[in-house]
Amino acid sequence: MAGTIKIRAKLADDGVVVKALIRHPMETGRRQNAETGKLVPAHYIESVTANYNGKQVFNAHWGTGVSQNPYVSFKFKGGLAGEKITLSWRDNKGETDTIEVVIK
Amino acid sequence: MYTISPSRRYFISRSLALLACSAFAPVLASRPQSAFALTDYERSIAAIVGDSKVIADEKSIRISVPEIAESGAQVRVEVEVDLPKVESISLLVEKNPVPLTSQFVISDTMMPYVAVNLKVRETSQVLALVKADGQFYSAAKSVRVTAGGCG
Repeated sequence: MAGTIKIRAKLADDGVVVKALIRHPMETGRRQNAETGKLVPAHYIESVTANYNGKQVFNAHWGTGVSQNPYVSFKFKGGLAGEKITLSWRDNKGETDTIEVVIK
Repeated sequence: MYTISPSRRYFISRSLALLACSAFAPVLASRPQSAFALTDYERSIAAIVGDSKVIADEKSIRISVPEIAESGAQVRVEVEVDLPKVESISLLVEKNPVPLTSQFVISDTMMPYVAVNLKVRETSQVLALVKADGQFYSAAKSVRVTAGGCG
C-alpha cells in the first residue's frame, strides 16, 4: 500500500518532533457489516517503526484500540535539519507502507 | 539402573525454569502478542508487569487526555515521562474490549514522549504504564465519552 502516510519532522529545541497520520481502517474484528450482518475481519496496524541514520528512533506495537486513520507523534534526540528519516508500518495482514521525510 | 538423584532433578528443573525465563525476557522488545488479546483489564496489566510492583507516579508521568470526548473514536492521548532510563510506555483503556491499545518501546536515542489517537468505547480511565530502569510506574486520567468509539 503506497501513499498512506502523511508525515512532518521538525527540529525543535530538545530534539526532532515527528507527527504522522496513517490512512488505515484499524478494524477490530468485532464490528458487524450493516448489510450482511457478518463480522468485518480484524485489520489493524501491528507495528510502526522509524529510522534515522540507520538507528531506530521509534518502535511501537499497536493493537485494535488505536483509532482508525491513526495519528501518532514522537520525539528523538540528535537529528539534524536537512537529513532524512523513514517511517514504516506493517499490519496483521502483512501489508506495509514506508515513507521518507526530510527534517525541517 | 539409571536414576536421577534429587539434587540432579533440582538442577534440571532450575535450568528449565531459567531457560523459560530467558525465553520470555525479550518480550518487551518484541510484540506482546498475548497481552493484545486479553479482554480483562487487570490481566492485561499483569501480562505486562508480571509480578513486579507498580508505583503510582503522577508527577513523573504527565498524561494528558480530553476531559470530555464527544466521540470515543478519536481520543488524543499524550504522555511525557520524566524518569531516567525509560524502556517502554504502554497505554491501556480500562473499559475497552481489549484494554491494551499500544506499547511504545523507548531506547536511549528516543525521548520518553508519545501522542496517539485511541478508541475509548465508554467513559473510562486511560492508564500509562511505564517501565523505567527495570521498575514499573503508572499514571491514569479519566475520559468522559458522550458517544461511543466502538473500541
